[in-house]
Amino acid sequence: MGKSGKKLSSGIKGFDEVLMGGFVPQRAYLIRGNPGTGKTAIGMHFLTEGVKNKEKSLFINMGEPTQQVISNAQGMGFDTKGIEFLDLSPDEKFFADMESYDIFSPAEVERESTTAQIIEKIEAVKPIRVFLDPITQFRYLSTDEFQFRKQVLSFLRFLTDKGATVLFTSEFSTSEPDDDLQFLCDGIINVKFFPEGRSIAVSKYRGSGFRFGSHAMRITPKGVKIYPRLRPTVKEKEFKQETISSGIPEIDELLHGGIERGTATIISGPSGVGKTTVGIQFMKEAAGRGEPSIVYTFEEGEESLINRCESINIPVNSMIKTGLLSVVQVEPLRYSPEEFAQLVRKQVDDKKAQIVMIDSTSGYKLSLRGEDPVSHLHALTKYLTRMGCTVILINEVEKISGGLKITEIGISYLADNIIFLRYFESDAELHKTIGVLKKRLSSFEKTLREIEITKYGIRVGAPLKDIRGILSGTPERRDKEGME
Amino acid sequence: MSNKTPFILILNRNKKNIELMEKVISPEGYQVQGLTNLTEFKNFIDAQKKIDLVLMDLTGFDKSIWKECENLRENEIPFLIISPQKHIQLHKESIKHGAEDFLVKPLVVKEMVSLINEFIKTDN
Repeated sequence: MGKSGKKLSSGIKGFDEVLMGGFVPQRAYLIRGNPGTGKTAIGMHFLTEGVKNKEKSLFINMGEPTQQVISNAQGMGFDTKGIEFLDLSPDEKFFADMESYDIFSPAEVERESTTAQIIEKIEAVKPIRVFLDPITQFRYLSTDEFQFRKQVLSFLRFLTDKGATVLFTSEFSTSEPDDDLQFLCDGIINVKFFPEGRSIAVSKYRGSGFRFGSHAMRITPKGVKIYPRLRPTVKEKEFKQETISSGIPEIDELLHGGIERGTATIISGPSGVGKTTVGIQFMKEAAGRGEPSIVYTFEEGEESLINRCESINIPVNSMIKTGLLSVVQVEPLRYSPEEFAQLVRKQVDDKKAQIVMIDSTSGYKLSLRGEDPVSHLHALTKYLTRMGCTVILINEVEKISGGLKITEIGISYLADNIIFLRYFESDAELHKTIGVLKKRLSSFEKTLREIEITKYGIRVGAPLKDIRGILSGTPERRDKEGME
Repeated sequence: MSNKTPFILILNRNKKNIELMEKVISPEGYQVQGLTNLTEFKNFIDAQKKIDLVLMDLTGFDKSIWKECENLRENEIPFLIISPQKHIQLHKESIKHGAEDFLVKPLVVKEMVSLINEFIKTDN
């Protein structure tokens, strides 16, 4: 069962993904983390998965008594039936007996009985999976550091030689570092607790590749969930290289046909200029072709988005009804970037979405917990485009006019195409303009056009040829003499 | 003499200590007897002819223990003193009263056993 090189599942789906299939059998892995980070829960998953696969699973508890371990585990929804326990936690007698001998160090006296108990149990159970919590307890059974290292090493050796795959936890602090343990194991799993949530990272894994970086971890009533950081290279899908139309001939003209499938487009502009509407317009057209789309809205409520679109002749209600559009409202601070990426990945897979819109990038940045959401957005975008999805990122710029800046959070490098919308003032009237700044896969029209959002839909005019200085926000009409 | 099991006497106030010592010394091929008070100890020395080694733990005894040390020296019974702490005065006193060595608790099992083996061997 354990042998033959087949990896052992950790019992946590996302974690198996990080470990590229699970644990290499007959090795020993260290789970490090401060108290309360979820080390024991990871161990319980490992053991219950073993029971499920009819592999003998043994829990060696050196800290808490068995009864407490079981009740804690059941509190988290684990079924402890089938798990063998070896209780090496200090019992109440320890306190009473403490004073009773002083001739030898407790390290020497206790160790012997501990070792004997372990050997006896291992021989009897012949476990495939062993979880030892915490191994740091061994430190007190050793007279010095050298002894400790030797004992732990030979102990792990003993277990793995008997066919077991071992997970053991360590408690560490600056005064009692566990560097030595990190050297003697085959893999290290670091669990960390931040105010924003938990994270898990593998920092050593002998004999196998693993997904680098820290991944989001969450403890739910159904146990531990791990959301691996999305990597664009995981799989690539073949898709047809073609341009997709916006459904507005003038916008297609600007784009020399439309935007290409499998590219990322930033639609950038100030508040209220019509970025979301232009984005949804692409989805409306996609729905016409029978291609589903998903909008992730971070700022606007679902209702408001629907009403707004309906009022300008984009039939989102019927698109939603036919399953060709999904509007997902993302609550602030609910997800970490990894969790969000997994959510998007799953929904895109489930719905076979062809266009994904994130509205907006600054909302994304503000709403997701954790560090560096922008790099996650990069990874997510790359992943989706490689899967053949067309990604639209809505980007709000704060300046109403003038000072042309593409994005506020430095993500313009993500985009294959950049469409921008701006206000300009002419004869004391506010007008809107649309233009293309960048297009990686084809040429594009270099002119600006006026755009209007009316109750009949988006209207785009002819190129504004006789006006200059639009991007400065204060355009002037060009006289005939001014022309070249 | 060599075919007879060597006899080791332990004097220790603490029964659990005696028990543990017996557990590690007996398997080495010695006969072990433990005693917890001085009167018993005195009577035992007087009655028993052949004692190969005595292990005396100073913990819990007063000065009268030195008298017993003298007694052992007179009877030519080698003995080791075990002390609860590293103490120059006690160390000097022990050697003065004829102790073969002065050991400080906690003892390391292996070291203690090999020391005993060493003594018994050279003694024979």
